[in-house]
Amino acid sequence: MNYRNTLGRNLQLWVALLALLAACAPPEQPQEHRSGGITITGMWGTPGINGRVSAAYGTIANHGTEPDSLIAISSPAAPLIEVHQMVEQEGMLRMRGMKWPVVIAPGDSLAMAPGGTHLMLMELHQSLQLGDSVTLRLSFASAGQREVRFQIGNQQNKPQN
Amino acid sequence: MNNGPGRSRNVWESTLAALLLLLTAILFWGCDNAVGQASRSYQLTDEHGRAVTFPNDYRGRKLVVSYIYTHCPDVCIVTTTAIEKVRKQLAGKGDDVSFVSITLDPRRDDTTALRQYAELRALDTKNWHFLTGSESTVDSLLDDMGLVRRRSFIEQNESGRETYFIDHDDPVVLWDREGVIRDRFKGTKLNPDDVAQAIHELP
Repeated sequence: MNYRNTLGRNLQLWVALLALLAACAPPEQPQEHRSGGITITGMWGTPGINGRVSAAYGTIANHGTEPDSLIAISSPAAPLIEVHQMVEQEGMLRMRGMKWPVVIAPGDSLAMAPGGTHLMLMELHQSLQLGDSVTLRLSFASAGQREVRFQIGNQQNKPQN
Repeated sequence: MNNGPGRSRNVWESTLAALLLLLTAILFWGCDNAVGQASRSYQLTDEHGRAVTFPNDYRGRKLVVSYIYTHCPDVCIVTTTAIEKVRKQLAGKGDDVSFVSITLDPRRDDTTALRQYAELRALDTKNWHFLTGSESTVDSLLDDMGLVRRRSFIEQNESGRETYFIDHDDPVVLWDREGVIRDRFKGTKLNPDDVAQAIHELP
């Protein structure tokens, strides 16, 4: 009986200790998606009309010692996704598609922000409005496939993923 | 009597001065047109399908004009977001201001598309109108405003429908109550404080 009580108390102690350890563990970092030397941070997207376009922004950084390449992006939200850059030429803002693969040198990053580089989601399957979530699958030559989930927002109130 | 080389020089100097004045006047007039002086009125439709005569319907109010299209992934969104900041700054300050965003793509931007563009961004369209019209009318208006634009990325999708984007200038233009253009800003580099101040100072 005493043995059982001692065992029960020990078990309770172990459970409490494990719960304490779990509570003390560092929280998951939902904003950072790390794979190999690649991290993807600060992703957010803009609203878009069904059948039209939306842009996504954020930073893909290569912390590794070798170059890595973004070779493809897919999403349930849109059948076609490209990396585009805005450049100013001949008095106009012109969009220029970046060629695949998009190589990111070691220590370098692909920084995407409004008015510059962006991921363009084309022919949206449905309208995206403020607060909606979008999932992207990004494939890297070395780091493999990464899945990122982000929210639709706007510049003055970027959603925190 | 002074009929010699001195008089001849005076005539030349006067003629040259007059020509310079004329050239200056032409340049200033030309610059005004490039900013977007409307030479006539245009029959357009807002995002709710209501008829609008532009710019006549806005006479008596200060007017902020920008250009967008609903297939625009980036530039137009930057401009729209900046204008929204200006609009919020001016709200409740007594300035009788109207905001107008005219489509660069009348072929695809009907009233429904423009209404969705505003709704998806939760924009208040009480004093902000999104205007479209027939291709010929809108193209005439854009030419009149001196808008530089060109279709790009022209392709056909799987269903055979033509897809394209539009390279374009990104002006945000301030009109006074008399319909005279007073200032012009670059939409993608808009400082909302500067624009709000310029609107406040408009006659």
